[in-house]
Amino acid sequence: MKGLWTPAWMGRHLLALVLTAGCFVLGWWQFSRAADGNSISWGYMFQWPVFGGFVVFIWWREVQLARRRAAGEPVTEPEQPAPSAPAPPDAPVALGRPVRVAVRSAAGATPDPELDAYNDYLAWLAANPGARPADYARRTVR
Amino acid sequence: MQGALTRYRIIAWIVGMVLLALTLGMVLKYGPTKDATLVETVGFFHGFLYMVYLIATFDLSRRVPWPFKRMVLVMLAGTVPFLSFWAERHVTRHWVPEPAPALSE
Repeated sequence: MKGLWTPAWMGRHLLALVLTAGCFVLGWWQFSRAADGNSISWGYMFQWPVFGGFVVFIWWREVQLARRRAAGEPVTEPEQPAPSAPAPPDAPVALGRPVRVAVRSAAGATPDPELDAYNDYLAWLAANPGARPADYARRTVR
Repeated sequence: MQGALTRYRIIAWIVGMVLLALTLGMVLKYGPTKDATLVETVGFFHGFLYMVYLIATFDLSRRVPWPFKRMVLVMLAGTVPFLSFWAERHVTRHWVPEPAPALSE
């Protein structure tokens, strides 16, 4: 691919190579110091390769980003699409993100006299703003 | 993004302070006293803390997002005594956008 061999990218590849090699050389130097009896160098010996690995990681990520841009793909990962079909009823229950589902309207399902009475009371309250609750009770008695 | 910025600022301050201690240790070690205790104590921790600093900077840089050069620059700024504090302030003031005002009721 040509996009990764431009002068700017050659510079980046070279920088990554030099930094990684430098980190590993420094790690090797610490190893030789540790072998000479400098006990603190044992710790440094393990840290330098980690920094070298970090350079490789950044380099790899930049290359991937450039390739995606060149291919016209989205730079960030696309959102996981929602499962198209609902799971069959006998599918094992799995944990997942809470999903918004359509709720069936409860109106007209089953007659509920208690609810009807309450709705009637609310309607009466709305129709008579200044009324006291006791007046409603008197009205029903009448 | 503000969370990433806070993490970056905290670790930048810690690494800056430890780096100062390390510099002082270097002065003591190669200076008059030839005393390497401070370097030996601090040096190892500084390595690990700097790793955390790199990760926090990387995280912040991909959230803003920064150009590649700026990310490398900020990462390297963490290795220079005293400059690291200035870099942290500069990043906070100029290179990270202001948080969006919270939605009110």
